Amino acid sequence: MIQRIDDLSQYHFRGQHDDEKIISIIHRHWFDITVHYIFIAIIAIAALSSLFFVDLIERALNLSHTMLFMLLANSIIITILWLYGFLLWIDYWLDVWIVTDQRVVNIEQKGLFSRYVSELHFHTVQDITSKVQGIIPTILNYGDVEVQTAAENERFLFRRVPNPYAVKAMLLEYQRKAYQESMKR
Amino acid sequence: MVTIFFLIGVLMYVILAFVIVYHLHTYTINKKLARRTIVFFGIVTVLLIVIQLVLFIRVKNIMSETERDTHVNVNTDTFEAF
Repeated sequence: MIQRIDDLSQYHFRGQHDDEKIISIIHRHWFDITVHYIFIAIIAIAALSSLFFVDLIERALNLSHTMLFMLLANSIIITILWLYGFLLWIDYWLDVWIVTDQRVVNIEQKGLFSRYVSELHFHTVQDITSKVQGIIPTILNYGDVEVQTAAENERFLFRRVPNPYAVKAMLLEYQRKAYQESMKR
Repeated sequence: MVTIFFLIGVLMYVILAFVIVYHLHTYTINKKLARRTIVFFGIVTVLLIVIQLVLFIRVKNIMSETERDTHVNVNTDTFEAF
């Protein structure tokens, strides 16, 4: 989601300059993470619904204390799903594009032990393209924003962000401001 | 043996939970939200692990009781055979 400016006072990132103001925080679109959570929910429902068939299993296999065994198995499955769900959430939450009045910082979290931080200064921006592809992205209005720069790392990608047209417009606005400031100097 | 495997599993959960909390605390850009999330995550994780431990202990007791009963039955049968 794109955070509004009045919510941003409590945000701070490593390497933020003293005179640097956060304009916007952009995470991936919620649908990107929801797909994974649907999968988790299906497994959890399947595991929990197995408790309704305890009597059947008990009679079929001629076992006793099946309920207790099933509860233990279910609690193990639920704990694993809980931790996996949290890992997914961390991957989503720590994957962020921070737009400040000076630059864009991309923090990309890949799993638990892999993290990339890159930044883009507005004066190096040459071209910005927004791309919405597919039925669901069109309905939910999310897509990619690609920034072409003059820097060494030529391509800067906002992956599956909500409202890519607004993101593009915002970046263009700050690029224009940076250009005007550089012309004044 | 089963107990050792189970305890290794629980240890894995605990290590993973600590890594998750460490990441949230260190790399977050919103400390307030991270703190709340850590508390929520911690409470639920501890609760799940406690439930699992209690269930495991009960299952283990039942298993050892069943084993003991089977053992007693075998001995009685053997005695009767003589």
